[in-house]
Amino acid sequence: MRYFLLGLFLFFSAFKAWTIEPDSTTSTQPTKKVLKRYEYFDRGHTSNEIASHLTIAYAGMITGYVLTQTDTINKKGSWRNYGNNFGELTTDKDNPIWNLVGHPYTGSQTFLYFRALGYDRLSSLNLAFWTSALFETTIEIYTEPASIQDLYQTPILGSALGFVLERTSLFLLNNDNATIFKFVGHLMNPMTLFGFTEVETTIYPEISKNKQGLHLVVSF
Amino acid sequence: MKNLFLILTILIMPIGQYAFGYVNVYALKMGVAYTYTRVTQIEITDSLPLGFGLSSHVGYKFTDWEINMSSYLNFSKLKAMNVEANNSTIRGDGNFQSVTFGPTFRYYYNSATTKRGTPYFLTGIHTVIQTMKFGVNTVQIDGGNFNQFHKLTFDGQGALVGFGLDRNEKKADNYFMELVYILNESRKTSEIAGETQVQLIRAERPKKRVFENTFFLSIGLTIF
Repeated sequence: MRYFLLGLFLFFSAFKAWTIEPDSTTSTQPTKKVLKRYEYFDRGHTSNEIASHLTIAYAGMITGYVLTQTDTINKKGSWRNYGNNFGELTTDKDNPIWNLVGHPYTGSQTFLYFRALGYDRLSSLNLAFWTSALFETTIEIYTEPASIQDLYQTPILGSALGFVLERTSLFLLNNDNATIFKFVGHLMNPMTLFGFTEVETTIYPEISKNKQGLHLVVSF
Repeated sequence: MKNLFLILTILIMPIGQYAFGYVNVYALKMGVAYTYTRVTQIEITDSLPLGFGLSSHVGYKFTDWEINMSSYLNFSKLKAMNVEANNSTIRGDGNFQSVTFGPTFRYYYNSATTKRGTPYFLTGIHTVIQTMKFGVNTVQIDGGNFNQFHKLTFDGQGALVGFGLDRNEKKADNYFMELVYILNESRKTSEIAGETQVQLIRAERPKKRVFENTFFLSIGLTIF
């Protein structure tokens, strides 16, 4: 089942990666080089949008947990634990690598997910916190109580890491010189591959006898 | 303390829209630090226990006051230490890590602002988790049944005071420097095993109170 879910996930991400490339055959300027730029545009959101985006992020976190923590769930998970751990807040003894690398990385991807949907940085941090808090207090308690380290480090260190990944990936993606830059850029910020990304700007030059300039196309 | 942490986090988190200028605005700040740590009940007979630190703060800045949810992380190497645990005496080198979480309050002396920045006073309370890991090749254990591959952890509470200088200009390129003194008291000692799947071997109240004293010299910036 988990391989099926993983396959489905990869299929849709790859599908989007192929379809967002500009189609040079239908371009009005087929002979001119098209520069594709990735940018973020902050916008307001309705309550319904926020609720649905939060739900998707929450579901994504649950899926990741089930796929990566199957052994722990099987060994330590129980409904009795769930009842005992509900409402408990503790300090965990997990390996620092897990707390300082694993959780912040998860937080950074949640942050980048909300950034890709047009939330500003502080709102993305806020929603990353709520996603993580919901997951910690309603799902992970099946195996262990919610922990202060996870509640803090996942969204806060995650958002700081997400900020660095956002800036670095955009620099690499908007560099037109090497495919490897684009590959690393997408690897750092996989949210730029997905259909919900609201970051695409296309700029292409037009140079003719009477006109010299740039076309700017912003896709929302 | 843990519930206070949750309540304050929830109060701080409903982040709204950007404000212009560097007052009445939410911000995320991070800093790196040199640390100097002494822990009672751990004798250090070799060089100064200098370490590396990381601080993070998220909160709201008013004109004179700033309230943050903060974390101070300290990694130190302890050389030639001497620790009592589980009826054993552990001698050798090791790593000490502590991480704090709690609210901090900054008061800015705006009247003393110079072109270098605004001085501020800082205080706060926190919950703390400390972990001690021993160098397997260097450690010597006398008596008792402590396993050299196990780690010691301490849970406790503490407080901090400090002062610093914040550039206090445009939020986008703001930076700060601060010196913080952190005092932690451990209430529970645990012996744990395992790297990926952590297993609790034993937990007890320490016979003697364990205090951690850390000086945290930090430089940082406003991330956003």
